[in-house]
Amino acid sequence: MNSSLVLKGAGSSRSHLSNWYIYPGLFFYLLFLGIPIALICKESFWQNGITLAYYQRIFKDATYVRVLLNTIRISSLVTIGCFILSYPFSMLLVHYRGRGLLSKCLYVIFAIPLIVNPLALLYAWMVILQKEGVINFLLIQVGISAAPFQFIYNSTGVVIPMIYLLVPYSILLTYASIISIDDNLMKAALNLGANYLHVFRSVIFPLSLPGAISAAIIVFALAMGYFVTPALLGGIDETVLAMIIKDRMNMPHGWGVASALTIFLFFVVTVLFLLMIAFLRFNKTWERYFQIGYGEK
Amino acid sequence: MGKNSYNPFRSMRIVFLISAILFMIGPTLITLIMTFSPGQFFEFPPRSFSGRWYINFFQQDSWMHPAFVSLFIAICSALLALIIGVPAAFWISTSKGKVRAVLYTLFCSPLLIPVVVFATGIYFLFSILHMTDTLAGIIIAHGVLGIPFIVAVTVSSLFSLDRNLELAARNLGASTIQIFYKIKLPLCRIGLIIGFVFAALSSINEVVVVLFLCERKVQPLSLKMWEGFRYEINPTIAVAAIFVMVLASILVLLNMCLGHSLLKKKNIRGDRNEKTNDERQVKT
Repeated sequence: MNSSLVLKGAGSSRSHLSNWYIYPGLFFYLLFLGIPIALICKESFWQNGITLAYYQRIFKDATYVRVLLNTIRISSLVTIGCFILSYPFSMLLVHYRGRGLLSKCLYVIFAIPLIVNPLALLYAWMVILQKEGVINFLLIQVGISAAPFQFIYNSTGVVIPMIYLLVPYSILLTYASIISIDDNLMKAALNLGANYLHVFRSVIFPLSLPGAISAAIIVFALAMGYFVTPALLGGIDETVLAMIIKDRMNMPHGWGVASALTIFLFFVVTVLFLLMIAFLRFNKTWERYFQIGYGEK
Repeated sequence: MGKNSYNPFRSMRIVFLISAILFMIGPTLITLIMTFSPGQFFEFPPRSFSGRWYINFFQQDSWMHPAFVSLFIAICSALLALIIGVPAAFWISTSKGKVRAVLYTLFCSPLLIPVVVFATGIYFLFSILHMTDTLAGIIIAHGVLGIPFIVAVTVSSLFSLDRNLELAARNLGASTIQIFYKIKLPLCRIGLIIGFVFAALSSINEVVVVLFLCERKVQPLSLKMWEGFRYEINPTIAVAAIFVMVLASILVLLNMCLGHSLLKKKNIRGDRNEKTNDERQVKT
């Protein structure tokens, strides 16, 4: 740690602490990120003394349990939808990779939900899904049904836009996972006479599965923290964790419960991210298992 | 499986490509179409076209003021993120191994923490400091949220930097600050601009923190759009959305053009040096 006087001109072997320029930024960052989190922790445990009352309340009170179940239900549906969509979309990306303009455009097109304002996208989904909207209009015109379906202010209206908003994460991660598969495996399979579908089923899908699952875990973690979509397009049954946190924050004595809920959400998301990292490490043993299988034959 | 032979997968693939593109672009197109609809309420397909909502958006102060507030907040918070993020990125790029991983995670943590968690915490902090409804408060909050973009892009652009340039400069006696200003910063300019654009974009599109922090005094565009959604839905929201989209596209295009021109400039500089060397040789 005191190596700042020694080897000063040699670059990376200098002590990091002698780089004074990082301190203001680090201080600012810890101040406005660390202290808020510390405050939330404090609020969740404090009620004239250290107490676990808030945590007990969020697990016993029917309202909070129901909200938690809603959140998990919606997040699961969104994750399943994103997982199903991720493979076809990322196979498209893989196939058109490197072909100039189309591949670059495809990247941008698949990243549109990340770039455009979510409120704008939700407005558009409202137009699409509402009773006088695009889908109902088409259904009635084609003659499939006489009366319009109710697609918004219920689960459908929440899950579909959330899938749309979260699918870029899923696509990008699955795509990265597919790309990392050795090209020769696919060429060998094609050489041996498999058609595209068989190659996908036996080579691409198994080898990219850990990556796709870790993408699904990330999508689940992100969906758990969602606020805007359930708030605007959901009904009572779609009250989500983030919504009830905001609601309790507006109440005079609700800060304690809101903090407990927040810490709980933070804890769940952190556990999920650690799970994802573990899954990515598992990827190596998974690959080795498959390659041993190929080698033995 | 030659390219010319009939491949059933090929036509399926093209159909799927088109439907995938339509699915992703669809909502954006519909927003655009809705901005021209004459009616107050949603109706699709729109009966006729009218620019009424555009006039509404650009003339009403209640919409233009939030638009400029949002722009101001976005630029200031992106600058703040730059000031904090660039030294952090340098620090990360000079670290190795576990320290580097820990630092990288630390500085990218606003992306990993759910926004609601951060919003709650920053609301607590600001209510102690009496900063809840202030411009400075929201700029700081968005600055923290924008740091990961800057750090990630800068670290990756520093990663592709030739180490020898720094070592050569140090050999010639440059101090850390000189190296920073004259060598590292110019060479990762493109990365900085990209990071800046992303941070500003994420600030304009940010809804949750704005909802927690802003009530009456500060009214960003996100807040106005949210209230429009809740209380009076008319296509002016769509116009606001298109405005932000156009702004974002301009920024991204500027970004790409700047990136290209900066790359070209570097080549030209190299050519120029060769020229003077040749001239010198001719002179002697």
